[in-house]
Order: sequence, then structure tokens, then C-alpha cells
Amino acid sequence: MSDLEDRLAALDPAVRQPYQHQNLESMISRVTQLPTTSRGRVWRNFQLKFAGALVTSALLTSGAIASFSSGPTFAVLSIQSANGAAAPTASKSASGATMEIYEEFNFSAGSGLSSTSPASPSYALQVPSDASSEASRVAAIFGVTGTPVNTNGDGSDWTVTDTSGNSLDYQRSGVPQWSFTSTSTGVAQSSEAGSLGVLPNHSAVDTLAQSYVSKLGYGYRLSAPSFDSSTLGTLNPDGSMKTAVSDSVVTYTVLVDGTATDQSLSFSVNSNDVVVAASGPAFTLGSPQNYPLESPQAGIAALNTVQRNRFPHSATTTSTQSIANSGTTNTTVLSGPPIVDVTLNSYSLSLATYQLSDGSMWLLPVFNYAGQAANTYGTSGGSTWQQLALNPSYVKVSTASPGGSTHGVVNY
Amino acid sequence: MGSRDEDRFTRLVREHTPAIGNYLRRRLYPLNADDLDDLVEETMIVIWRRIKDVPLDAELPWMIGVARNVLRNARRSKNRQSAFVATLQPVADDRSAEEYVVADTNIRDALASLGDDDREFLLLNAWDGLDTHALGALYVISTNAAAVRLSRVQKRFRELLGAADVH
Repeated sequence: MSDLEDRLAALDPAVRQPYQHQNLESMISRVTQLPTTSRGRVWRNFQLKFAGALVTSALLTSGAIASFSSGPTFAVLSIQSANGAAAPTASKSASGATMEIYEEFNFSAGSGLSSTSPASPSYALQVPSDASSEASRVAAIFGVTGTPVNTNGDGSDWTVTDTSGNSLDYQRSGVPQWSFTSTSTGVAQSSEAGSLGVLPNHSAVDTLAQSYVSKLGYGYRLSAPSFDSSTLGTLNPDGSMKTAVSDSVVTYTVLVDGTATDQSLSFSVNSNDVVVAASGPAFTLGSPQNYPLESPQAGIAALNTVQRNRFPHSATTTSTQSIANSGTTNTTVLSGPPIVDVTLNSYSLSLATYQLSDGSMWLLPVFNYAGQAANTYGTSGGSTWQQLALNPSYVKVSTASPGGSTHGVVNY
Repeated sequence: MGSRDEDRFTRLVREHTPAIGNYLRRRLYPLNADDLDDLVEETMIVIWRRIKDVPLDAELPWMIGVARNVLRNARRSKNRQSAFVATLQPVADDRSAEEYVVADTNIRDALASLGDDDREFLLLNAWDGLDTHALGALYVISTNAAAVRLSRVQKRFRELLGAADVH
């Protein structure tokens, strides 16, 4: 194994916690009871459990009100916790990566973090009430004509497909998302450089994308465009490029009063100036509500709380550490992941989407912390973290079930 | 439903459930045992439903392909809440062997710098153990094309890692 492979393997979560199903024979028995042609059971099962968890927490938390001494009164926001954590933490990384590394972090506030609470409004989102109709409307904007099909049987996923194979998918879970794909392709070239060379310029791509945004009519504001490209190639047997077809890709972040959110739109345009793929959120913005925030310093404590709930099965892990004690060296085996100390020195505010226990969607302020991480051996590097910024008095985090099992709530 | 299908499904489950579970764990870590079992079962339901479609010469890649779709649906279905992912920058100190297993921030940074598709391709090989034949089966490309792509991604990854290591 090479040095590179060793280093990659050391970060593999499954090496330390290899997966074993808790009752394999029972699963086989359950699954083989199903007809082999049973379509739709697959995701309905998962999502019903998820919905059940939301209903349970809503019953636990309805009607709560909180206020700050003589300050304004707001309804408590009841947020579904994915893992029983005492405070919710937003999930987006700067890179958009979904991979997580097996490490535990101890957070502390650096001198640059204020104990004074900043201000930033929260927003309830209005989402289309009829998913099927909205799927049809968005499909028509992209020139896709057809009858919406409820693909998973529970009304959360609708697809419109036309006779050419162009399709519009509309997902109603969380913030609804639409996604358009076309069968249209650009002109194939013999090299990647050649295929990039025949793409429309950035200004034309931006103009075309903005025309669709205007037709969609959601009214949200967008950041400056960010451009990229993608190339699909076929190879000769010797590995050389046979044909290449590129698309120009433009991405926008949804902004609210100039503040970035975790919502974005993307459009892919081919060499014929045709949009071949696009995706984005379906919502309009409600009025701002000035929920009090906690201080950047206080947010650090919530990050640590999340950490303590993150490794519930640490007794089964295998990392070790030596501890010297009064001249006699005792070796103590500590279970759990490697520890990294993180000092956070600065922050910015952005808005992240949360779903409350009543199913409503909100854009809530989050702290984006930046600081230094140091491992056991003293090496360090920069790191960024995200944490809900609302004052905890106005947030109730509900666990999915008292037994600790979240049954279908996916945490990533 | 024939007993032949059941026998084959049972064999597939016993042989490949650990690999499927590990694949899901790596992409949704941390995830509690019950939730992970649920996702594995959802994957197995799809495989059972399409048992006649499972290719004899590429069973595991095909099953991982199903797990990828289950994962994609799970991510789309969940609301954005909880958990976090760090993005660490290159470190500036001498490296030690221990550093690799404690907090290899350079590896993390290099992985984060790869595109999502390239990172997945690299980790399917490095973590999930898929060789170029299996990668080709999963991505519906030739073994040769998979080898070319893997080589390109590994080269790019080494370049990113090299840049991080010397800083």
C-alpha cells in the first residue's frame, strides 16, 4: 500500500467502525416477503417514518412562547433534532462535500469573538401549496409538456417528462427543489479544449439563465454569477480523447438583504445556447422577523454540545493514547475518535434553511466561524464551522424518539 | 417469486451487506446504527425488487449503484439541519507518522479541493475497494476508461496533496 493510500485509509470511518447489520436474517425475511415488482414501497417506508418523527415532536412543542425580559415576544421555533443534540447545527460545508472525517473537536472561543449579540432577521418561507401544479408550471417554463407523475407515491416527488425525454423533477421535501434535464446535446469536438472553445461567452450564459429566473417568478435575489464548465468525453482504447462535449455552468447563491443563504441555482448551457440542465429552490420569502441572536462566544458552547452527542458508540472504537503519571508511565486505552482542539477567532453571518416541527421552512441566521485547529501533536490548520445563531430561548430542539433512535431522520 | 431468486438474494445480502453498510456509513457519517440499518434495508428492497437485473459479473458495483441512489434520495428527503463538515486548510508544520492518523488536514484539504464526482471516484477505489473493472461497471464505462479516469483523478489528488504538504 502506498503512502497516499495509507493516509486515505487512516481517514476511513468504516475502518474503525466496520458495519454489521443488527439482524441480517430478520431483514432477509422481511424483504423477501415483498413482491419483486413492488415499486414505491422503497422510499415511502423511509419517508413515513420521517414524517412520524416530525409529528411526534410537534405534539411535544406546540404553543410554546418565549420572551426576553421586556423585549419582544416570539413563538419558540421547534426544530427537529437529527441526533438528539441540544442545539442544531447547520450542515453545509464551504466545499459542499458530504464526506465527514472521523475526528472529535473541542471548540474554544478566541479573543476575537464578541460576547455581544449581533442582529440578523429570520424569515419564514412560503412554498408552493400544490406540488403537482408547481411541477407543471416550472416544466412549462423549460418547455417540458406532460402530466406530472408522483414517482414515489407519497406526493413528495413529481416528474414531468415529454415525448423527447426532457424532464422536470420537483421534490417537495424541505425547501422544494426543481431540477430540469434535457436530452439536447452540444456539438461534439475531438478535444476538451475544442469543446470548451465553442461554448457561449459568460455574459450570454448569464443572460439566458436570468431570463429563466425571471420566468420562474419566485422573486428571490441572486448573487453575482459563478462560472464553470463540465465536459463529457468518450475515449479511444488507448485512453486518448475520441469525442468531447462541454457545457457552460453558471451558479448563483440566493441572497436575502445581501446575506448569503444555503440555497443556490445552477444552469448548464451547451454550445447551441440551449439550457440542458438547471436546478434551484421553489419558495418566496416571508416578512423578516427579528428573533434575538446569541453572542458569537455563546455559540461555541453549542458546537461543543453537538460534539458530545456525535460519538455515542465510542466504547467500540480503537484509538489509543499514552498518559504519563508521576514518574510512572501508565498506558491508558482511551476509546473514541482522535481529538482536535479548535480555537475560533472570527465569524460571519449567513442564512441557512431549517424545517420546524410543524413542517414549515425557515431561513435562520447562522454563525460561520473561522479559526485554527490543532491536533494532539501540535500541528494546526485553518477551519470553518457553522452554528445556528438564534438565542436558545427561542429554539426548542426535539429528539425524534426518547429511545435515541431517530428512525429515518438522516443526518449529514 | 421463486426460491432461486430468494437463494440468490440471500447470498447477495450475506456477502455484500457489510460493503453496502460501509459505503453508506462513509457518506453519511456519523449515523446511528438504526438509521444505517434502515438505509441498508431500503437498498436491499430495491435489489430484491430488481433481483433479475443484478448482473452476474458485477454484483457488488451494481448494488453500490443502488445504494448511491438510495443515498441521493435520502439527502433530498431530509431537511437541512444538524451536523457539520469542516473544511481544513493546509498545515505548515513538519509531518509525522502519527499525524496521519490523528488529523491529516492536508489529505482532507486535498479531498475537499477535488470536484464531487472526482472525490467519489477516488474514494470508491480507496475506501470501498472497487477496482477499475468494478468502477467501469458502476459508471457504465469501459474498464480502460475507468482506469484512465482513476489515473487522472489520482494524479490530480497527488498534485493537490503535494501543494498542501510543502506549504
